[in-house]
Amino acid sequence: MVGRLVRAALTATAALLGLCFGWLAGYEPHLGHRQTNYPFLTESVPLPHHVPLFSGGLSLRFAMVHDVIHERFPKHGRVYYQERNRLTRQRLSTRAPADPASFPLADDLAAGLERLGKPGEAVVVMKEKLARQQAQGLTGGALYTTYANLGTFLIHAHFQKAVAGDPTARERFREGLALVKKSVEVNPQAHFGRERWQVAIAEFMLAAMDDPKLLQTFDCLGNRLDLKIEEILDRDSNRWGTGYGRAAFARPGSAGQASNEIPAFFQPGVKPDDSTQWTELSPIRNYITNVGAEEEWRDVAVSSHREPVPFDEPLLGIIGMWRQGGGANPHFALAIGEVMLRVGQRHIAWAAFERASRLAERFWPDPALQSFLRLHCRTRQAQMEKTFLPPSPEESLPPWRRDGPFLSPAEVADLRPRFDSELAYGEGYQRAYQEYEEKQIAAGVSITDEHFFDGFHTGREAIASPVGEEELFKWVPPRKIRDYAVSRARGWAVLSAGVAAVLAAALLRLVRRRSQPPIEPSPNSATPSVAAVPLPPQP
Amino acid sequence: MYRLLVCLVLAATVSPAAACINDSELPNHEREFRSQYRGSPAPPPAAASPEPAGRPSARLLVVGGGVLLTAAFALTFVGRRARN
Repeated sequence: MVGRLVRAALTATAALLGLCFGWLAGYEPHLGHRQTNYPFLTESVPLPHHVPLFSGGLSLRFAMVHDVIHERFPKHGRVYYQERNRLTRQRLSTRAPADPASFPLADDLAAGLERLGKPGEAVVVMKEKLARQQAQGLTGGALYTTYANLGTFLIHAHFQKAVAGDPTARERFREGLALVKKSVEVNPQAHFGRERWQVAIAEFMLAAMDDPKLLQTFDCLGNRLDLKIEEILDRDSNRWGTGYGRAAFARPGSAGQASNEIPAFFQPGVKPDDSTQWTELSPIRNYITNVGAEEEWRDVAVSSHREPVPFDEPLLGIIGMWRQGGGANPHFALAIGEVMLRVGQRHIAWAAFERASRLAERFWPDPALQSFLRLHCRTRQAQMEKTFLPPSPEESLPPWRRDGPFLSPAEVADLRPRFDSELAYGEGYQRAYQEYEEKQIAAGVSITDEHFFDGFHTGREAIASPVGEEELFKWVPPRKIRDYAVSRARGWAVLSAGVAAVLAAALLRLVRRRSQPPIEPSPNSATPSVAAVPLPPQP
Repeated sequence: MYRLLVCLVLAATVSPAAACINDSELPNHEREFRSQYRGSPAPPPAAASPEPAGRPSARLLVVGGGVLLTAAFALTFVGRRARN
C-alpha cells in the first residue's frame, strides 16, 4: 500500500512538472502578441465620432462627406424660391412690423433673396428685422437667426469686392464676421456647431485677402498643403505624433485604454448617438484624430481656430454649409480632401480633390492660384493612386504602402470616369428635383402642401448613400488575446501533465517489475518443487 | 481704377465660403438629413475568420490531457494485483 502511495506521489509530481512545462510552452507564443496574429478574435465597434459633440446633436458619417462631394442631396431651384418669396411677402403684408410672427417670415424672405443671388437686398431685410427686434428689447438667443443670417449675407454681399481690394467692402465683410461670431456666442450648439466653422473660414478668407500666398500653404482649416503624403499616410510613424492615417485610436494601446475608461462604448449594440447615454459616452471623443491648425498656423490671423480639433467637427460644419448654404465650393472640397487624407479615407479624399480641381476657377481671382490648386489636387491624386495599387514583388516599400485592400490598374484608371458618372447622377437628381418643383408650382400646387414632393419620391431610390463598414473600428481587444492565450496555455498544460503522468506511471511500473524478487511458491501449489518438499526423516 | 475693375471682374467668379442660412425649412432639412444617415452598420459576425486550421482546440487538449491523467493514475493503482 505504501509503495502504491509513493508511486502515486511520484506520478503526481511528474504531472505537476508537465503542467508547468505545458503552461509555459502554451503561453510563450502569445507573449508580445500582435493583433494581426488573431484575426479570428476581431471585434467591431462604431468609430468614436459617432458620439456627437453635443448631446442630441448630429454625428458624422463618411457617407455624408461622399454625398456632398457628389451632390447627392435634394436642392431647391430658383422657381421654388421665387414662389416662396411671393408667398412670404403676401404673409408679411398682413402682419404689423412689430408682430413677432413676422420675424421668421423676414428670415425666409431674406434667405430666399440670397438664394436668388441678391444678398444686398437680403441685408436690407435683415437690418430692418434687427432694428424691429432691438426696438422691442430682444437680446441673446432671440437674436440668433438675425445675427447669423445678417452676418452671412453681409459676408456674401461684399466678398467679391473685398477680395478685389475694396476697403469699404472689407469693412462690411468684417462687420458680417462679427455678427456671425455673435450668433455663435448666443447659440453655440446651433446646427452642429456650424457657425463656428463659418467664422474660422471667413477669418481665413480675410487673412488670404491680405496675403494670398496663404492659399498655397494652408487649406481653410489650417491643414498644410505641403505636408508630404508619406507623412500623412504612414500610420505607424504617426502613432506618437499627429495620429494621421487613422480616424481614431491612433496611439498604441489607446483602444484598450479607451475600453477600460469607457467600457459602455465597447458594449455590443451600443447606440453612440443616444442622448441619454451622451454623458457616459462622450469621453470617447478624446480618441478621435485631430486635424487642422498645423505648423505655423498660429501666425495666421484666424483667432477662432488655434488648435487641432477632432476631424468630424469642421467636416459637419462644411457639410452643413455646402448643403444648406451656397453649395459646392473649392475651399470646402480642398479641406475635405486634406482631412479625409489625414484620417485614412483615401477614396473620399481622391474624389474631394477631383471636385476641388474642377471648381478651381472659383478658388481665387488670381489665375496662378487657380493653377496651383489644380496642380496640388492632381499631385495628391497621383500620389494616392500609387498607394491604391498593390506593390510589385521587386518593389521595396515601407510598411504603410503594403496596406490593402488594393485596386487593380484598371480600377485605378476607372476612378475618374466613375467620379464623372456619380457626380452626374447627383446633379441629375437635383435637376429632376427642381424640374419637379417647377411643374408642381405651374400646376398650382402649394409649396406649403406637406405632400408637395410625394410624387417625386415615389418609386425613386434614396439619394443618400448607405452607411457602410467604413464606420466600424475593427480590433482585437487585448483582453480577448489574454483570454485566448490562457485557454491555449491551459489546454497544453493539461495535455502535458497527462503525458508526463502516463510516462511516469509506465516507468514506475517497469522499474517495479524489474526490481521485484522471484515469485515464491504458494503453499497450496499442486506441483511443489523438490526442494520445497520436506524429506521424511531417515530411519 | 482700371486695376480695380479687372480685379472685380476676376473676383466675380470667386465664391465665398457660403454658410448655412437660417430659414423656416432648416429644421426640417436637418431632421431629414439626420434620418438619412441614422445608425451604424451592423457589425459583422463576431469571428469573421475562423481559428487557424490544424491547431487543436483548447477543449480537445484539455480532454486529451484529462484522459491521459486518468490513464496514468489507473496504471499506478491498478494491475498485477491478481498475481499476488
